[in-house]
Amino acid sequence: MHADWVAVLDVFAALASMAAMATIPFIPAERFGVSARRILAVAVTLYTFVTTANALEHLGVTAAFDPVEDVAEVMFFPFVLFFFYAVRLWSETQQRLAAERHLRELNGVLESTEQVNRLLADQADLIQEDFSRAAEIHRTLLPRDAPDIAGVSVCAIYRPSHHVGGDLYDIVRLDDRYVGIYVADATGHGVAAAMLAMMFKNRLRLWDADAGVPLPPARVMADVNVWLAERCQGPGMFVTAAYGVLDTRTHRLTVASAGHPPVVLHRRSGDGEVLEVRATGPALGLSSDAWFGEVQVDLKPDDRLMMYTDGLSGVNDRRGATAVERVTDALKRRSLDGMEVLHAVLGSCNGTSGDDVTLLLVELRSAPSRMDNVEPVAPAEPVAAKQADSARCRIATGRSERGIMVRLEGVGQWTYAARFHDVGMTGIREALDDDVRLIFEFADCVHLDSTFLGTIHELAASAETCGVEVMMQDVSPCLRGLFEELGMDRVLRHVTSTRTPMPTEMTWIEDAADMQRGQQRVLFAHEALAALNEGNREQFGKLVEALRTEIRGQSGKLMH
Amino acid sequence: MFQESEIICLIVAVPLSVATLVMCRRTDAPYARVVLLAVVFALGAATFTVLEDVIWGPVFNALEHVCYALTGLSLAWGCWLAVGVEPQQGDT
Repeated sequence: MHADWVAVLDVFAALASMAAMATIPFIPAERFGVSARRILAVAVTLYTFVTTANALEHLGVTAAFDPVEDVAEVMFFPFVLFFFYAVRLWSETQQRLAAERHLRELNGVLESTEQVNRLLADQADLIQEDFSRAAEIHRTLLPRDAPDIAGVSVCAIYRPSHHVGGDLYDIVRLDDRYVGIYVADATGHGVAAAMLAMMFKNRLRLWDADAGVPLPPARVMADVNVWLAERCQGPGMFVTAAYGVLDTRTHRLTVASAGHPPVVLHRRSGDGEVLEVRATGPALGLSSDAWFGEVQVDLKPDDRLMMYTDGLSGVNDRRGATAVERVTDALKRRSLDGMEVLHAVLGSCNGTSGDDVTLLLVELRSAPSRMDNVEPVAPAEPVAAKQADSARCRIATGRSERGIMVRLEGVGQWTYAARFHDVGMTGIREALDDDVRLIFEFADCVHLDSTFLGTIHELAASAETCGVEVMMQDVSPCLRGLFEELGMDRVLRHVTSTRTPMPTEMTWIEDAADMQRGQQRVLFAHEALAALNEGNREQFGKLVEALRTEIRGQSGKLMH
Repeated sequence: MFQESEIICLIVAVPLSVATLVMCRRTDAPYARVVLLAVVFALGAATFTVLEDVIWGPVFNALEHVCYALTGLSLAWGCWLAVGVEPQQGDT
């Protein structure tokens, strides 16, 4: 009975082993490779032989295979071991290939990003250059020299918020008797506003050639208004302006204001009355059928009249005074001459409105007229060069009685990590010898790549092991975020808000880039990061494997 | 009494099985786990073969052949899993 069951079990074992053997050819090569499949086939065949021999023996057919069966059974175990070893090799090869593919893809992305970056930098330079030219052209719209008008002094200040602005002013001698004065402000800033201002100036018709007299300011405004309204119909495209015609014989000023901030008049004689000429019509370009009025003011000796643009209205001074109040205050200061009044108004601004500012002061007295237009904008440093500079990594070291300081500036890139590691390790040794602390300073550090982050972690760990006190100071929230993201607790516990002053003398490490040792440093740094947590292992594991293989390959070539 | 070939088989099987298990301790591919099971059963068969000569001959003999059958079954199952249409989780 027992023998029957044994025979049944052996037959079952033989049939199952044969089924396994028959299945092997159908295992896809990509499962664990061809070699592993062959080894598995050998192992299963050996076992099939064992079970078949057992079955034949217990069925009473033959016991001839018995001696060979024991050998086959012994051989089964090493072949299974070989099989798993082959699977492991194949798996590692696949991982390495995948990591290499990933690296190639990343390099491709990096390359195209750099290309786009270069392109953008070039375009930014081009735009910068265009802005500079536009600024030069815009300056030609402003008066270069103050006109010489007997008994009248005119001073002006112009400050654009960008390279070019939408503000405009001019003092135009219409004939021997009349002088036209205007201040205009096109909406917006930059090139668009400057072009709108140019259109305004281009359209201004101040003189009635037929009658040989100046055109009334209200008519001038109405004419420009219609012209702009017909051509500039986009939203928010309008110009505010104040235009006055001064009769130098009667000192009568006729003013029209199109949606412009008040024109402020301060009478210095008598009780120091202050008059405001408010808008006599809407801004130019809003509606072609707008109506504009005029105000006539008789100026008396020493009277001061100021026109300004709304760049001044956008900010209040430290007391919270409005633009008109500040202008009035400045006008009332008798000790100030014309230009000083304008600077006093500008100086009272608490901050900047981000808008262009133009101030124009007319005084009825004999004094030199002056124009202070903005200095030509210095050619901006090319963006590409600026980028290159901020991307440069600089390492410095120094010491004071408070400790040894290692300073990092710019972008910490892998090519500099080897030198940084050397400097850090030297710092640890010296700090240990002299029993002082080691301070890493990141005030001007813009970014750290993963190699640098790993290197910093290594240095922090080494310092802890040696018992050296480490401080990481001036760590920006951005860098802190990187430390946290990678779980760099050993670094985070040394980040401090206390700031140790820099030693008076710092030694800058010349030519800190080290490409040769860079690759090895990338490996060590990423190994350190990968050891921190599972997330890092997943993120950097493939890179570490690929680098290990590559570095092993390189050392192999060197050995040969 | 002990047969020399059976002792040799056990002496070879134990370290190799341990080595196989250690090598594959982190493997989580289903087919690998089942093939490892086959190794364990094969080791069991080799052990029972020796033990049946020492004590409880019929019992250990029966266990030996059960192990043979289970080894064959595990191998067939493992190979079947390896054939699977889609690559399995943890394959590579």
